[in-house]
Amino acid sequence: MNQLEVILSYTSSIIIFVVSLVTFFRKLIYQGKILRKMNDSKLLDLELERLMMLAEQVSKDGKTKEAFVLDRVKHYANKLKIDFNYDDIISKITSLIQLTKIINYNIPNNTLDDENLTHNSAVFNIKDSNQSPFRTYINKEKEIK
Amino acid sequence: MDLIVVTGSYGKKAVVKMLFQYLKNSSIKSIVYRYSDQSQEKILDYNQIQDWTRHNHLSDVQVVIIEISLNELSKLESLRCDYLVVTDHNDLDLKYESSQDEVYSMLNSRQLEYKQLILNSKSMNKLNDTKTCPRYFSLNSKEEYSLEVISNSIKGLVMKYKNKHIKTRLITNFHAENIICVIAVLELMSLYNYRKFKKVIKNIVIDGQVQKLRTRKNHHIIIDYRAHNFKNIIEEIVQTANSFNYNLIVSVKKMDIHKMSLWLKHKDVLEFVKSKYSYIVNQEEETVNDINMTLKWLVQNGIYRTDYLTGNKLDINKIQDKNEFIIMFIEDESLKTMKDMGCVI
Repeated sequence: MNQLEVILSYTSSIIIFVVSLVTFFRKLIYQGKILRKMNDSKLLDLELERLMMLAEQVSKDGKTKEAFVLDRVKHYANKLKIDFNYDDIISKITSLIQLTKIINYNIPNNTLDDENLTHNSAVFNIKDSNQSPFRTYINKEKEIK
Repeated sequence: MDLIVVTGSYGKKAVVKMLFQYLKNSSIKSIVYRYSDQSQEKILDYNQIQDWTRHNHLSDVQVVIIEISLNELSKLESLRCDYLVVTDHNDLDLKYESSQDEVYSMLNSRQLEYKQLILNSKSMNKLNDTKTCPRYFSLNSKEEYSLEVISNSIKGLVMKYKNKHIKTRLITNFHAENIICVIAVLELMSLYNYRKFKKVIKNIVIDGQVQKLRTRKNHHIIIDYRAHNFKNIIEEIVQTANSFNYNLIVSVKKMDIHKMSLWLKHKDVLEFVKSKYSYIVNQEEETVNDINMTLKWLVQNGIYRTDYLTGNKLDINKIQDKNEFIIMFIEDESLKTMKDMGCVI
């Protein structure tokens, strides 16, 4: 009887050990996959950013730029064996284009002076894009470049 | 004897080769004279050409084709030709910008004598003279001689002329324009025969004019003999291959300031930036100083992904990945070296 109890306790402890081991490795693999995905998407983002800047340099036509970026990113992903999600990339490109459209608006020549006069101590109004000092700064930077 | 003069900024060589090949296959005896920018030969007049053919026992020659660059065309004033063909690709080369205007003013003032003028429809606006009654050729339009491009891929072109299909291994719309130009000339000469033409065009190879070659690993290489002004050709090739994954190889005899300034002038520098990786290949052994100067210049102009190779280090198979293709701008000698090395088939 005692021997049976010992066998049972050993068996149960082994089962618990195996189950915990499986759970541990499963979580480890899962975490690894998540990390790899994050790394892959970071790599793709970096490449996407580089290619979009390059596309701005080399072409004026929007469609050509998009085709250029998509084709190159796809090839880059294939080369590094990264999962290429077409819709994801398209949405990223669209969001980046939208961002640049917001930043690259035309500012009248005297905007900065006017802002200094009217918004010295006033609450900054985000909705009014024409009066954003942040955006003026970005545009000034772009002009210098 | 019919006299055909072929001129233009781009496509002369292809048109002349296709014409000559067709006439040869049709058992029509023809000869080709070629006058380039470098040649010092004088243009003969009609009688001199006849004398020359008689003297060389070529009295039975039926067609004489003269290939002449736009810069040299003014020399033709003494010659009365039957067909004047201008294979113009709409301001393709800045080198010919002034010559092009000059040519159209010559055509407008009837300084050149010809029976029939054959032009690309893109040049329609440049011609003011209504008396000349030129014939136009074009792609996908309602001109008298128009060709419909059905498929344009890296494997070749499939076109349709008068509801009949024509297949060729030649690639890009440039060659489609050249083909319709040849059809226009042959139609005007009443020599066009669909079956013969189809046979000639199917496997014709035009050396160094957006020529497609294959490597031993079945990769594609597209070769052109120009040394600058790559933009339009690269755009056409990209459209044909439907891919931007290309490496650019530019082979030069000697890197000097003149070459670099030409690349800057034609905005070729941007093409270097646009390609995945670019290689500048030199066939002659350069000194270390020259290589350093070139690399410094490239970096100064924002070309970071580039390499400088000497001819014997150029192994296409090593620098080409799967799904990539190569666009090469080289000279005849470089192509020979590559063939000797077994890089291309």
